[in-house]
Amino acid sequence: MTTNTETSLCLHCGKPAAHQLVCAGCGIVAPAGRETDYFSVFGLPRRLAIDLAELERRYYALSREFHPDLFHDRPPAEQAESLRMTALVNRAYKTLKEPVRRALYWLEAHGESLGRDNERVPTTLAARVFEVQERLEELRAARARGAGEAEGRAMCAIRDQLRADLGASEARLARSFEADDGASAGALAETKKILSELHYLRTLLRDVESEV
Amino acid sequence: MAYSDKVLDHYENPRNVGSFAKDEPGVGTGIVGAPECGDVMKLQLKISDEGVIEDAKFKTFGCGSAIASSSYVTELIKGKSVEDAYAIKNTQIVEELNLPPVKIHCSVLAEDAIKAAIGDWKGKKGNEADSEKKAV
Repeated sequence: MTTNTETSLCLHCGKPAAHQLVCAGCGIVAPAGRETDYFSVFGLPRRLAIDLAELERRYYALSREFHPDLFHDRPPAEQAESLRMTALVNRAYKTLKEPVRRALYWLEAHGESLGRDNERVPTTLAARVFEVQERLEELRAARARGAGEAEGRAMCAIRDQLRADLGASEARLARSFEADDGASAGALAETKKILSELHYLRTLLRDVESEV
Repeated sequence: MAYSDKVLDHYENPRNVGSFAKDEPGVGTGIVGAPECGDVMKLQLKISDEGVIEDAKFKTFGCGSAIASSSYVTELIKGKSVEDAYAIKNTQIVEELNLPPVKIHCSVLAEDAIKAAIGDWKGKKGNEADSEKKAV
């Protein structure tokens, strides 16, 4: 784990806490002065590619450590701290576990956002969105006439293709995490590109799935 | 979240929905998207040789605010010069439609669509001028 120079004092014994989360002396929750980044919550290196099994193992360990039930006979400040830590650990786990959420968090942590410098939809993707959306309109119109069976079957094929492509994008996202530490300008741009594509495909698939 | 009456009006009765043929002379096409939500918007402008926007059409697949923003823009932009249209700011759309903070990106999308459409028209004009030069 990266050492944090900002030591905080243990709520229980008043000595400097060994690391951000727990006092080394007595094992009591230390008050973290500021929002801890999600990687260091679990003592994981700040890298996009993470060991999911290790994340899970540490998540369960921390959840047990800070469980509010263990603090019921402690002073109110410690009880509040255990609640806050439990919430932080849960939030951090939820974010890091899921690759798309993790990548969005990663962009934010690097001062980036999906919308920035990214207003142009790739032409082929835009063309696809418009084509599929127009066929959805045709399907709705056909159904309103009491027909639409053939259109419905064609839409199922489109849906399956979209699902397959979404899966492929997710795999590309996972591979992009491995590229380097994911923090270089090139790696961030690539992550951003894949995430955008994922969002367009997800929105489109959601619209298709609401019809077939 | 409650939409304003103006958003609802544009959403229920969108103005100028449709499209021009992309290769029609004087037509600029702007396709933009909001990667955060996956919305896409196509705005097409029919621009005279004098640089006046004579007609506008749009097609948007997205939320009510994105549809309303692009619908309002097609009304706002007709009759304007290309320069005036290029200067339209998203804040104007936000004010007119009373968009809440979470929907401001929809107005940004509409502003981007205007700029993209004008950019496309300028590019096409430049190409025409180039090919005329070559012909001479």
